[in-house]
Amino acid sequence: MFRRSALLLLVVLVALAAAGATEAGRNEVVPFSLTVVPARLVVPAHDAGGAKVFEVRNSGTRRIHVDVSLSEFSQAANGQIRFSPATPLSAAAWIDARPKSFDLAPGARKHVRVRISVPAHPEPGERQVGVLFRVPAPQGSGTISISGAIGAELLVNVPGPVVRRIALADLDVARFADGGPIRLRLAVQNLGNVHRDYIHPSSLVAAAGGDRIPFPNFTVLRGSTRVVETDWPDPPLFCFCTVHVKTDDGLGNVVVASVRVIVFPFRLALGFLLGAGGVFLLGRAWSQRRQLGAAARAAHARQEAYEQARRELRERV
Amino acid sequence: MLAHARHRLGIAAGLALLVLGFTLTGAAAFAASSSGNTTANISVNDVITLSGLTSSFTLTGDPGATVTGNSKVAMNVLTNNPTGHTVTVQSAAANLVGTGSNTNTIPIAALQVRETSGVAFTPLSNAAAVPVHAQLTPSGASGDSLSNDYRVTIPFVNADTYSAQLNYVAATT
Repeated sequence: MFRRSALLLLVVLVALAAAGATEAGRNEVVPFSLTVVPARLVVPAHDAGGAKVFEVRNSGTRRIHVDVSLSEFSQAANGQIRFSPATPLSAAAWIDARPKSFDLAPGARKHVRVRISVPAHPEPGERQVGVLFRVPAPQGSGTISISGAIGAELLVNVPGPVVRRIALADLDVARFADGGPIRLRLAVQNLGNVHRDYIHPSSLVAAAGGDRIPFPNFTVLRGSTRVVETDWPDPPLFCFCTVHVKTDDGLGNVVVASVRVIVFPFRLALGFLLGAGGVFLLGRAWSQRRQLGAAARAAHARQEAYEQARRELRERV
Repeated sequence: MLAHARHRLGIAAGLALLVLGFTLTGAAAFAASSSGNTTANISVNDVITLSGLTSSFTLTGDPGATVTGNSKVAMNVLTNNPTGHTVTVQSAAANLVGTGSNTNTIPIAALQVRETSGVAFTPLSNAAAVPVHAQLTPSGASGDSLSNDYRVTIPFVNADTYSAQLNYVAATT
């Protein structure tokens, strides 16, 4: 009785421990955790002279030191943001972020105020400044130490004429396909002086064969070209289709990128032809076999008749 | 006596009317408030979090050896940004340097990185950041767990511990 009770207690304790471990896994607390809000801050032209705030949070269990620095950044065709040191002529020189460094206890948060001083007679349009919140590498035992940072984007609109202009390059699609998915690749060039968002419900959409194929959400920054891809998952079996993508160029005109695609089930047709050939060959072989069998039977009958006639002749003689 | 009774009845009737009046007024007031509308607005911030970043690692081997360490650096990136996020790594210096009076160095390009499950390693640089992750969608609700493999081809240098600092940057796209 005592053993049974002890066993039951053990099972209950193991179950409770397992449940606790699962809960701990769900709410995992790590030594290093850095949060920045917002990840991107767009400052309208009428507000360019004001102060903006980034909130920095330490959600980890370790006390961290944060260094704030400014940089330039550019956007690669795949959307990758490349931060580079600020030059004296860049808009980073207009920005004053304070405090420039601070400590954050676990669970603490800090407001970093960004003051923008737009110089007199700047070129109108949008300026891109990266605000880097870096936690220096701790003094660890490893030979390669790691520092972690979050790069927030600050897009400052300078008062003046806003130019929105988008150009689409040719759609890059395989001209012949024998089924889906068909990869669609499109270069979107921003020739204006402000960024352009293609985010749901304003995503870029390709139309083909009665299907609407959305591209993933993306942003194309001023002066950048993005190459975006999507898949046409289920094209028709046979199709001489035109795939086209439409957007407005920002000046009220519609720009279109289109391409003709022939969808033909080459593999299916080849398989059908091979199958038909196989059936034909089998049929012919069967027919030949039947003919040969009939000929053999006739020859055999003739031989039998001949033998019979010989036997009869021999009996007579 | 009768007058006293009438007086009491009057007070009771007055109180009853008062209570009835308040009740009706309150009911009317509640009826009025229940027909009103309230618009709830919830503003959701654009957030990015980098957490669980490995603080350091070591690769050990002989001169001439190529040593690979899988998943040497791990991290978690959480963002609700609809266009996704990227992670890059860049060395703070051009060389891994030894200790004390050792003047030997290892070029940082000898250290190569790739995203775990990736195919090709890319040499590190102190001039340009190497992308180690890119995605065009928001992370999962508990973030995306990422890791990087490292490989080093050790040149013929003095036996020592050679150090460098790598800077990881997570950003929205």
